[in-house]
Amino acid sequence: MTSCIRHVAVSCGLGENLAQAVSALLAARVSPCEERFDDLADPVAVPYFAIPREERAATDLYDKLLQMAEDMLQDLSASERRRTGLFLGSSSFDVNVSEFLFHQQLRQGERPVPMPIVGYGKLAQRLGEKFSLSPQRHTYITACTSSANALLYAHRMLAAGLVDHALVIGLEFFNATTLLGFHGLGLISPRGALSPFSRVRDGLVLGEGIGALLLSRDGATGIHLCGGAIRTDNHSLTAANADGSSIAAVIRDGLANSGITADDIVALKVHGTASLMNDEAEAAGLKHLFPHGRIPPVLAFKSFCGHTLGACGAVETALLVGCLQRGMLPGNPYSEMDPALGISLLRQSVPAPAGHYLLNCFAFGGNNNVLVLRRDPS
Amino acid sequence: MKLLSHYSLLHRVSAADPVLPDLKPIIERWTGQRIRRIDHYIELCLAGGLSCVAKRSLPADTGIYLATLCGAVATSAAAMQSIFASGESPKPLHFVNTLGNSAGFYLTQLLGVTGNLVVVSQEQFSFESALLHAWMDLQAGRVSCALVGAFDEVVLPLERHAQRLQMEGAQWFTEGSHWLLLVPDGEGEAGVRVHCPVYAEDPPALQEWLRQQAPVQVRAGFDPSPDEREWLPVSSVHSVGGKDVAFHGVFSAATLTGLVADLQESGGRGIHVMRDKAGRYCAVSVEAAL
Repeated sequence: MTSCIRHVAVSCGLGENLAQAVSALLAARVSPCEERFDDLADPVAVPYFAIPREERAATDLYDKLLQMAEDMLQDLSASERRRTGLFLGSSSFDVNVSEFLFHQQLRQGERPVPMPIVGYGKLAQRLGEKFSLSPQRHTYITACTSSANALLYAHRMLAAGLVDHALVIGLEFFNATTLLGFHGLGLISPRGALSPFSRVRDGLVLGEGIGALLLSRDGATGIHLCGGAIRTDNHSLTAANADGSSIAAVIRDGLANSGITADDIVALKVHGTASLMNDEAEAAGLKHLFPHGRIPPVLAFKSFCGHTLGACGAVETALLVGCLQRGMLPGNPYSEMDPALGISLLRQSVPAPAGHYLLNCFAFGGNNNVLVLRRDPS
Repeated sequence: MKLLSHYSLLHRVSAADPVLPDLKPIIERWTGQRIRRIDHYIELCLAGGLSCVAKRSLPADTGIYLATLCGAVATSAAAMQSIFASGESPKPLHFVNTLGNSAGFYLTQLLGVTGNLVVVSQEQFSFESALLHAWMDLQAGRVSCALVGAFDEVVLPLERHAQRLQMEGAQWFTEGSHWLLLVPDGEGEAGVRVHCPVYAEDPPALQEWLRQQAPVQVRAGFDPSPDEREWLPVSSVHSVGGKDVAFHGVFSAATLTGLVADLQESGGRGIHVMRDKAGRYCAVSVEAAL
């Protein structure tokens, strides 16, 4: 069974909404900002892709999230909503609000409670209550694959007949813990540019984002989620196995689960974090899959919206669907292939063919996910 | 789903003696490897998961389904404290251990499995959510074995932990790690079977579902109201293995694994029922043929 992708929405560093973000992606627009942490003993500035807005407040993006969910669900009747599951993935959830409260308590001289808000499932519960959705409200906490796993399990739950519709949300909001954590690991690009598979790649740039997809068991939008797979690579906590075997294994599982072979892939969206080790592993994995070097067009989105961590599965899938709805695939004109990796990104935007699209998503802790989409001939 | 094994760890931490249990001896019982740089939350995962598997050889495609209500709170709090109170970036190790996958990484590495792994949360139904995910994958043949575990930690000092959980004034807390090892149902075999979790929107929906079940004992993972006691034939309430446990964290995992353990001894059928804060229910039917 395939799941019909009925609606998508996105808000990320590329734009406030899907139309803006897809236009910016197809125009290859790159506009990161700089986040400064001047209160630290050793002040730090890091590049970042923020969602465009006039002023940042602790809860402003939750209002945006609510509006996005309401828009996605507007076609569904009350009885259909009761058969709509909610699948939410994030890396940091509401840590930004916890940070705000803790900081406020510190300034006011109260006895502060670090991490004052706990409970990963709170947000899904709140959304589920607000929109009177099915009790199937699951939250996924697998770091960068969180919302990709939410998408895959939404598809599996539709296939199992437990729900008729699935609202899938990935979200990642600006917070100091994440930015400084990645900075401390030495993974942020000193150049402030995320250049996947490039000879000049030197790390990633983080971003915030909300991606939302409404899937249905039935529908005729012409774009479907066909399947996918999850596997574990326990080679290293923070890097994939550079020989590519684990990545090749999860892609093979995902293709088999979708009833296709590597030859059926018309384009693939890489995870492409531009970190030295992970691009090496992903390139090696792709070479296992396409041993004769005939790799389909390779798309990489993080150069334009940053790595949105737990949201990236939903954000990047929504961006790809948005591009497919316009019949175009986005290029990356700034890419400079690293000959040692041998993966060339699509450089210019081209018309999108019908067929199957592979989407890779990998996480710290060795959680690897792939998804397969299909675009029907128009 | 047929049960291969179950395991439950449960510790009471009281305000009078606020000491967390040392989990290293439990972990060392199952592995000679010295696992460095892990926190108490990851230790809870390893102690429970390794004890449930108990050195069985697992198929490589074993699925791991982890549930938590709150995650790695102590380490996340330390990272936040470091940034805002001390003006320092979080230590890389602290930061990595705050991520949802880290506990699962160490567990799969020690078990030598590379299959499907997911970490889920659903407020009071977190363990039931993990069980549902395992059921879907076993039913579809995506995995041939499923290790389902839930764990939540108590964080010192207890006064702050109580504030986080909105349980100010509580004198004791429990932390635990609760596990089931499951395989697909086989025909006509003896053993314990755990059925797919069933959600009910409200009391009438749960009552209707209960009417369709044969008369069985019901264990509640919550404290039923007087109204609920009139229609819910509860035989025991938030007590596991003779211990009272506090109603927080992955508490329902403790009651469900407790039911499984009891039925494995006695045979018969039982139903585990949990209620969330919005008044919905989730029920799991368990039957044991000796």
